Amino acid sequence: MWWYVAKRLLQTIPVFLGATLIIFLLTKLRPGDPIVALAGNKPISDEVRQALRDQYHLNDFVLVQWLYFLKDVVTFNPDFVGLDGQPVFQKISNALPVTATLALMALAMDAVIGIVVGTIAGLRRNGWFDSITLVLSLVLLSVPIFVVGFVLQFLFGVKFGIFSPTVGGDWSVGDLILPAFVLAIANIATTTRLTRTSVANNLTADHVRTARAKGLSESLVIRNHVLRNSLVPVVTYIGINLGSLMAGAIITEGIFNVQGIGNLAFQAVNRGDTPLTVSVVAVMVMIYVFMSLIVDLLYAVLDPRIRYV
Amino acid sequence: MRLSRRTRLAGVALIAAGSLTLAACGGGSDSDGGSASSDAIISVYGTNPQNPLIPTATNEVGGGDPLDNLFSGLVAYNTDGSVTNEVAESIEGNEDSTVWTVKLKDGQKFTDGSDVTSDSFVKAWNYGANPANKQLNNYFFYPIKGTDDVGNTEKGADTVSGLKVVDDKTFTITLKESESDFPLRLGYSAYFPVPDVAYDESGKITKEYGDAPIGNGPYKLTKSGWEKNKQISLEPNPDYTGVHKPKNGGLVFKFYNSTDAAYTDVQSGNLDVLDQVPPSALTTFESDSGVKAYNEPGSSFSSFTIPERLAHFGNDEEGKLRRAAISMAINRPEITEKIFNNARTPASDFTSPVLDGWTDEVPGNEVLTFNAEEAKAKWAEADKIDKWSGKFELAYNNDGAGNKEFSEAMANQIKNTLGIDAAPKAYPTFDELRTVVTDRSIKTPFRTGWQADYPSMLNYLGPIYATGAGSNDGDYSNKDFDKLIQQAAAAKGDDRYKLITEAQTLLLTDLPAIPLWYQNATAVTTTDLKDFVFNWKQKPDYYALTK
Repeated sequence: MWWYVAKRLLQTIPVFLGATLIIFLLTKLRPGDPIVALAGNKPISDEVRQALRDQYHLNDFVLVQWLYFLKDVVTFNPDFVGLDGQPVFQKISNALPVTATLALMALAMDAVIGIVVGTIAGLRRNGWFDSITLVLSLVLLSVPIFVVGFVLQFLFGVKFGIFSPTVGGDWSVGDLILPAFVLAIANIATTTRLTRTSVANNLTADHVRTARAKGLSESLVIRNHVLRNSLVPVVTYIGINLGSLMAGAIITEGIFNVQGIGNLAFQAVNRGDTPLTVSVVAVMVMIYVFMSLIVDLLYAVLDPRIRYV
Repeated sequence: MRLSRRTRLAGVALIAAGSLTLAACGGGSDSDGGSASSDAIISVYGTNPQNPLIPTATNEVGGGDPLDNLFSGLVAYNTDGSVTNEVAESIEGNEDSTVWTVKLKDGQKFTDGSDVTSDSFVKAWNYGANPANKQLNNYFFYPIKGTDDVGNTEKGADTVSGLKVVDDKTFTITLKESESDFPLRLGYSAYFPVPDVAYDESGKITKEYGDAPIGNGPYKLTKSGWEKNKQISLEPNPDYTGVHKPKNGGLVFKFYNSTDAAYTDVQSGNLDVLDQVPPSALTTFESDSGVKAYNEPGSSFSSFTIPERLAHFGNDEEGKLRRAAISMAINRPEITEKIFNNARTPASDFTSPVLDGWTDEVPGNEVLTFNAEEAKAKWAEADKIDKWSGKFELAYNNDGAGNKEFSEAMANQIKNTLGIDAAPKAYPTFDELRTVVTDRSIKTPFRTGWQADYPSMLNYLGPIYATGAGSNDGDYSNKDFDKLIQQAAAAKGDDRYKLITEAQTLLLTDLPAIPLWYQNATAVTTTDLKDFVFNWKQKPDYYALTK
């Protein structure tokens, strides 16, 4: 198993190189000169423009620029700055905790609510509970996240004043409950549907019939044979969700003014700040890669047929 | 009950509106009775600065607003845009307003205790003008002798030859040309003084200083100061003796990703002042009972520029006819009302109504009024000179609120009135548009705007339409106009305004840019905030805010 983990970790190196290169090239396809953007609608002299372009290696061949970027990242150069002159690593480490907390909270809500509701619906297939969940999850899936976000923000933030309507720089876990719920909503619906279908399928599977035939008690059958097997696809879904939750937080972070990774990425793309954009997206890619590794390892726990050697 | 776009959504989603209204109204009334307290800390909308907090490096509002409160210049702007000497004891021009002698007040200090001397100014300005230091505000030094057209020192020299230190409290500024209102410029942030401690051994302003500047203004940074991704906190500077003495106990510039979130925070009382109402709330903010609303004509001017190098739009009879026809084909009031919900005011000249000397009676400005008949006639006349062919395209940047809508509406108006093929042309971002404009590679008319740096009508004219000026994106050139601007710059009082009006009449004939509208200054504050006024810059007078 450790050999497997080591192999997977080694694989992240080409993934990192490939991902950063692709994102780097993509940001370079964006027309316009970020230095002109810095100047706003005021004139900027050619000397200053060229000096700034040189400082950020913008006049070099694009692959050379990428190598400069890699050098800064690999050596953890503390002087590696974005176009605003602020150190990139510091910016990311400032923004990461709040986004990570937000994503983990959303993930926890997604997992707990989704699996519990999905299991109950699956066990009582086609009952009233199942029907209500079906309708509810379809509604949740079809309403765009910004509608839910603004409505809940207005109701619980402005009108009732239960939660703070925005998070801001001074965040606490309590402030994040509302945004995390908004972020989790679409995923909860999917997790519920997935769990429900999986449980329902497993209820009629051969091994469950065998277990019942052996005379195992119903609760043991459900716990050990139905639920455990049903969770394999659900765990995959939830696991890789963490990556998309962090990336998908851009809208939620905008509505609730969370100074996190999504917001950082949004601003960086807007300003044509390549070093910051690529660094932020690279962090997202890495989180995604590590989450899928953890998910693969969890398979072995859930499904005895899977062994990593 | 107030209904913003979001509110309406919520109202539909939940019909518990009755009790909600009560809750919303309750918040404000309790605190209204209390008297203003001088130690209240006021939270105001801000964004994370994009540049170090150095006077010559900061060119956007995220850094500019805090900076304006941390530093004092030679003069301070009053609310109406006139100036009062601040750090300067006197600023005296010579006979033809080309050499200015500045004397500083005694006892002026930076918050670290060091004296504000002539060197604090001259060294900072030299630093800003030297291209080796890559300062974005170099442009502000262009009127001074020894700089080129964009304000860099000539031939990359270390110092500007037009700046001379006489003694600790006196220095002189020599200008390239006569400019009788030169002191009006000197309150702008690019001209703020910088203390000696800012520079390292090699003479560069340090990164540490850019993170936590030491100034001489009404406020200073608190111990926590600029917290990245969070806020900038200021407290009153006890040694400050100028005209903007803080009436509150401090300011906190809270950073927001969007004005929408900030608006919500004002509604719920988490933010005191938002000086920029989001587009989503523009229709409703004035009837919103949970906030105090402010809406008045402001100092930023919108236009679109038709470069002279475009076929059919040259500086000749045909070009002038076509420009006038396009201008008269646009129904400005319809757009400012339908698209901007009256948060814009149709333009009647090239400057701004907030300025001294402004008039809506510039001869020739009927060309800015919608007149379909006249527009058609002028276009037909131009067609006799040279037949029109092709498409009239209007370039805009899609990342600015309302740009797409107004460009489309305008293209439609032109199309319907003149019967020609007209369409908007989108550039995804502001800098993409600016890059092709700066490189002169753009082949269509494009959207332009101007926010003055200092409260003078000339600042709306010279830098944009004078031959070879830094922001003359359309490469307009008219010797008569240049002469009038020069004369106006040297003249004083009413003569000066007369010359400016003449110059504007000339512009209205040539129409290098088509004036569209003045952007209104809009703001919301919490109901218990007091003494909010817009200054000429469309910014609150921060020092005066109380609650």
